[in-house]
Amino acid sequence: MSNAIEIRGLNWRPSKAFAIEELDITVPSGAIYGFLGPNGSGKTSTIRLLMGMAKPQGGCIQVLGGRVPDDLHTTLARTGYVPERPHVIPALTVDEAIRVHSAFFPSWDSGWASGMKKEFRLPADTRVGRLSKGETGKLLMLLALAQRPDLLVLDEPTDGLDPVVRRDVLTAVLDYVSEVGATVFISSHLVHELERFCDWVGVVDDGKIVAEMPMDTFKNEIKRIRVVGWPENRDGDFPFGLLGRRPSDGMVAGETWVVRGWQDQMTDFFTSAGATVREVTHLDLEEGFVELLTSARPEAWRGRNGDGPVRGEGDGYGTSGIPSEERGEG
Amino acid sequence: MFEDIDPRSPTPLWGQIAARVRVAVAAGELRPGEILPSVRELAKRLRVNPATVAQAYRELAREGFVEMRHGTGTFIKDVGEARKDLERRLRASDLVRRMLEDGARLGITGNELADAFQEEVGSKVHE
Amino acid sequence: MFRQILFVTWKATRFGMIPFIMAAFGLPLLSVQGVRHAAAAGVPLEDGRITTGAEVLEWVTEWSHLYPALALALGAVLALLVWNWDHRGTHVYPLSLPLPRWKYVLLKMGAGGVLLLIPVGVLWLGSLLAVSTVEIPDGLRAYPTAITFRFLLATLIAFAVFFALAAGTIRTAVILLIVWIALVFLGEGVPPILGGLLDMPRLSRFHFLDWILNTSMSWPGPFEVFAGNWLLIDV
Repeated sequence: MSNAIEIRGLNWRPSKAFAIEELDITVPSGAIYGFLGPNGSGKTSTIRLLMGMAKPQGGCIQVLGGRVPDDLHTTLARTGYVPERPHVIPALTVDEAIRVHSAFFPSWDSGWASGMKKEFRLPADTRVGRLSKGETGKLLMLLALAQRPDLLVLDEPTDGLDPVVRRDVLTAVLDYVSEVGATVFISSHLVHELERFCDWVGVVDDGKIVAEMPMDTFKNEIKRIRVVGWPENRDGDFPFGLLGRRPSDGMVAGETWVVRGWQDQMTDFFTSAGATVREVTHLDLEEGFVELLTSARPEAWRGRNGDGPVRGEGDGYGTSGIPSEERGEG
Repeated sequence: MFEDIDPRSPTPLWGQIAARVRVAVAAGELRPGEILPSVRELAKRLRVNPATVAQAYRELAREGFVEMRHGTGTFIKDVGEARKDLERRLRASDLVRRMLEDGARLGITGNELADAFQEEVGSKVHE
Repeated sequence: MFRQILFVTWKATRFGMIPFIMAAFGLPLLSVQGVRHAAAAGVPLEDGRITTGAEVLEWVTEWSHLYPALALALGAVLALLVWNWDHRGTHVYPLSLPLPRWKYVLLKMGAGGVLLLIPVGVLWLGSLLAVSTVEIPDGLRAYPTAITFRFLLATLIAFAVFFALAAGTIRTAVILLIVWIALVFLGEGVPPILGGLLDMPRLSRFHFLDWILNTSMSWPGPFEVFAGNWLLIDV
């Protein structure tokens, strides 16, 4: 089985206001897949559907070679889950919570669990409901890892945690992955964190996948170029994928185009049309992520290779062209 | 040695890690026979994907800078003076290229940069 | 797995069970107080008639209504407590476990059944104690074990019914309630109208609620155990 997770054509409409439409996700085995998206884009919903906690209207979900929900009880036995909000029973103490959880997973490693409990400095006799946010986060990760899963599904596992705890939690994940070669599916808005260790990235927006590719490709493929003198109404048949286009913001001359698959020799394409490329900027993960989501994409400018974001006209984000500081890492 | 690897740079992380090792070998900081941190250890320290570290080590092995001994670890090999010189020259070119790019963006010509360089080097000699 | 589910269920219900355990112990003791009074009055037997016996029966009968009520309350409260934590956590935790839902529900029910044995056991002890501290007039016998067994059955039935109700969502519970109310309205309202239209006086006199109660409370109805004989001391 080459893919740990395969989702095809997922459709889910829990209410009139929100829908997941024709969602396709592929997570190769052994990958660390970062699932990015703004709040409300469907990250948690997708994860809940993956875990068989909700029933989709259509589509096919395969996890670790088994179908969800038909083979759910085998897939869940091999999946470590850290939900967005703590799911452990708050009235149990840490020790009790660990003991209860261990009974359900035959592959549980209790030696590792006790060791990790000490390393995380979790107070054994404190009720889960009374733990601090950081301790709760560590406990949830401990429970997910102690079962020695083949797949880790992590829903914003470090959200709201201080930097020290974040490091502890992610180090535990990395350590586990080095040892066991498990697959990790991690959703987050902490883009910088994901940038360091994910080798795949999937960007979701408004219930649809907007981009899915290896991390290095995402970081290198998407660039921002400044174009001066592009003729009006000139149609595209671009050698690159055009993800978005914005007029000059007044401070610097030229339009800003966000492109995918840029190669240096493509400047010739512009020269032949009478325009010049003044600047090519590399975008880091966060900038690339924001560009994907904020650029509106008029029909006329869809590039030939443009399998970039599919978004309706003028909805939501606006075209100010200045990445909002509120987006991305909090 | 690895503290300043930058996930935001266009160079992939494995490339940055490999480059650090090459530079250290060229500068004599890492000597033949010395052992590099294990894949697991370095991945933990840098908080990167272990596959990234593994890829960096494989690249270094391919170029002859290290030898991966299964079960024991990854050891620095003697890559020879010529290769070390080459490495230093490559790094120097990189630095100069970056300087020229930055300069171009600020509107500073190559000649102006060369003059500034001479001044800096000159003042260092007199220190 | 059952052990851990039992542990969690115990933790969830233990405080709620305390008043019921106390009641289960106290009820038999209270229900024989009258027997002591009757014996203390020292009325002798005359011509074989059991004067004090009749008084004893009267007293015990008065208290007998509380046994099924306690069973009902115990079953209901235990069922609600068993599901309480699940509802609070919106079922995320059990759903994330590699355990089929039906199995989980069954194990929970089993755990509840096991925990029920505690107040039932306490009732039995209380009954034995109560019966041993009084002098039972001739012609009457004590039935501590029989009453405990009846209590166990009644509690189990009540628990099963409320367990099933509590297992669903609030939405299901509300729907069931609405359906029930609608049935009662129809059941009470339609027969008189139809009876009048079709000129069938027996139909007009049909009372839905009474009919339901009677059928379910008499054998072979499921709730017969609640209506039957709840006397600790009887002929």
